[in-house]
Amino acid sequence: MLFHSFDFLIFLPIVFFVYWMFYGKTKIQNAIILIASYIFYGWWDWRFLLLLLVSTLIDFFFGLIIHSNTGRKKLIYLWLCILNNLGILFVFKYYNFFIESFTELSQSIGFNFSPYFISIALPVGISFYTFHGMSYVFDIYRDKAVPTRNFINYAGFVCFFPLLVAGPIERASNLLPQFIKARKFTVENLVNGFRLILWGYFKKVVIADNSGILASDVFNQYGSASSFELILGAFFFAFQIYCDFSGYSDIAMGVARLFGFELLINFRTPYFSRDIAEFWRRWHISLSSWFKDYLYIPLGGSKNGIAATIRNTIIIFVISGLWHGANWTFIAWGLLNALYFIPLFLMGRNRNNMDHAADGKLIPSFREIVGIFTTFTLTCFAWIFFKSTTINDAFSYIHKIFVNHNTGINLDYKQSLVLVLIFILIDWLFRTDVIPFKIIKSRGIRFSSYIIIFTLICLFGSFINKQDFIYFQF
Amino acid sequence: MKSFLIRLSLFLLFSFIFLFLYSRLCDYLFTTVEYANKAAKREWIFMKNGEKYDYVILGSSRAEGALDIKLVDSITQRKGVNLGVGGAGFADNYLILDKFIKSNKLKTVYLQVDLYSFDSDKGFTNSFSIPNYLPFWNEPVVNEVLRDFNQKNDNVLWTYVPFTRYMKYNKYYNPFELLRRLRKIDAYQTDKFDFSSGTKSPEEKVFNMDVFNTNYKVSQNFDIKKKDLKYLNKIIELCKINNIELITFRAPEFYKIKDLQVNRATTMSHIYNLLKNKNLPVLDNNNSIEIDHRNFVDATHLSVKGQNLFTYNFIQLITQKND
Repeated sequence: MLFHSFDFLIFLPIVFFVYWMFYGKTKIQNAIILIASYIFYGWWDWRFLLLLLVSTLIDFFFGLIIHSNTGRKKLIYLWLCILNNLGILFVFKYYNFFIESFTELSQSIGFNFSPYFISIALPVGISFYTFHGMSYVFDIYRDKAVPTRNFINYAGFVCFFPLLVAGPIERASNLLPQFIKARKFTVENLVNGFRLILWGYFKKVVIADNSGILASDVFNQYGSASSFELILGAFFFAFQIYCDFSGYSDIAMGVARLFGFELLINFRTPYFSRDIAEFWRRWHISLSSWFKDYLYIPLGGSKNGIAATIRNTIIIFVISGLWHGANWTFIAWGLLNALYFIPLFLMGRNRNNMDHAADGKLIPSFREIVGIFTTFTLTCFAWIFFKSTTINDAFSYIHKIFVNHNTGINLDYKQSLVLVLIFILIDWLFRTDVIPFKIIKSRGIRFSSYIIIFTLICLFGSFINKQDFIYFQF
Repeated sequence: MKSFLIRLSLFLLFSFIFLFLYSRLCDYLFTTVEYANKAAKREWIFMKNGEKYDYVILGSSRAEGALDIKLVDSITQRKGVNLGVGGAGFADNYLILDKFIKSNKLKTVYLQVDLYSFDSDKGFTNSFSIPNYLPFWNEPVVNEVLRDFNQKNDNVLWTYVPFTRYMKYNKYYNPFELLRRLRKIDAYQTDKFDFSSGTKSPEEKVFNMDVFNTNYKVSQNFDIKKKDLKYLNKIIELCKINNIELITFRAPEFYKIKDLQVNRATTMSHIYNLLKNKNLPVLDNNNSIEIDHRNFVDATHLSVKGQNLFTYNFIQLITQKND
């Protein structure tokens, strides 16, 4: 089920009312959440519910086993659990990619064979719920969390419908305790929930979907597009992917708040970052911190000298790229970001910008503007790899930006550009607070701004060419 | 909680009032103000008022680009207008004619008929162009046709929450488009046709046979669809009520495409029988034009040369008929 579908518009109020009818009865409420989550997921393809259930059961039982063991046995069970999780991911997401790459490599050195390819749809959200489960067993292994013996609570944590298919990637230490204790129904949660949902929908259907149409137009015909259009294509894709994903995260956080849950923050206005290190502290935070906690630090982090740190940085960026999809373009995107990041680290400037840009001021300084512009340009450049179908396409796209003399594809971009500029302005004003609109102190202006955003959604939202959330495929 | 519910209700109320007013503004502006470049053929037709014509041509792009009205008028000394519109099937033709005769006078309608107009789902003509008629939702005739082609959910929604129709098709009806009209700016996309006669000038090119040999491979079966027949009957009825003579004609098609239409002979024979039973004359004498690819820009649309030949052919047929 999509957040921006008519089905969800019916689904959400029904679940909301049934859920709060059992106010104070946490066990029943958790069961309602679990059933609703399975309906939500099964709406897309009920057959993959079995995979979701198997994945949930594996991590649930391994959590208990790991907790009841010590020493070497504990480590063996952890590895077994990781192999199970990665095995599921590998079969459903990466098998064809690896086998194809291996075949190409073999053929290039003279070995020919006919590989077996799996013909199966990629289960929606597989990377997200697998990572939820893995964070649970990692935390138990490191004695940072205690396993629950209640399967419904655990399954609710893994499958909670607002975050099931596109995150944020939750931690057992944050979300699981919320399933155990009673939730309070508060007006504040309700108001903040609606604020997040409204802002999330604006980002998705107005900015992401409209930008997405233009980005696809350019990337699909990059051979005929002019240099200016190619630059616009990357620019619009940058806003498509940001507003698509952060819009989803906002709606997810808003919906969760309607049910009394508080999810991890996933985005903090990343395009106002002054350097790449800051960008990665603000972009897909739940994934970056997951890799930091469960991969970068176990690999030694930055404690074993410069060479090891560089190696570890490259590893997490490349794996982060691969997490997004089974394609060399994602790996190149990850690698490019590592190349952006490493010089900052070597110069000891990767933790220079820890606060917000123009903190406490309305207008950024010239230095900040230069930083923001440079970081955004580098990010857009990397997005070209992310969006392109093949590495060759990406290089060809970049080459054409500089040497293209085409007359262009007559891109009708002005309207979408105005919308994106309006969005940038509002996003700038909202940059210091997780809850949008909260910064506006005057009640009247705040109330008017809700109406303006709602009408903008109605007047500019893309309702015919509805596009799936990009991160569903991951 | 009480205060929250009041604020939520006020939020919905104000938003709905604003959107309702916006939809009324759209109703008004999109029916009375044109883009500076008179971009859309339908709008150009709907803006015509108080004119008298001896004849009109009704049909799809195949009719719009097939007949040079100025040439017909100069030879026959009659006054005509080409109301052909790209992608129009019988339902579209019916609405165009209905709206046209409400504000103009005419004696004869030449209606284009072919396999595609009786099976509009096949893609040569669109089964119906919904967005173009949204501002006329409240007109009973338009409303009836829109309901026939719309999704059921939309019909309910548009009836009770009228602005949602502009919401769905906001690509064409958003405030930017509204401003473009008010400021008399050109539309982005334009239908290219002659503003005095309604005729579309063919592109300056000739049908490439290599393109035909590579792109035209799919054989198709054509049927007579109930829905299309229904709107043909409505056109007949409309002409009858308004005392307008109705004559049908077939626009030329490149002869080789006929071989791909598996049941063409049978279906065309059914169509001609059907028209005969309804006492509708058919003008069809295209063989000499159809054998030469240079008369076409693609398999179903005429080139400049083809348009000229067909127009003379047409003049001959209507003159013979009048004699």
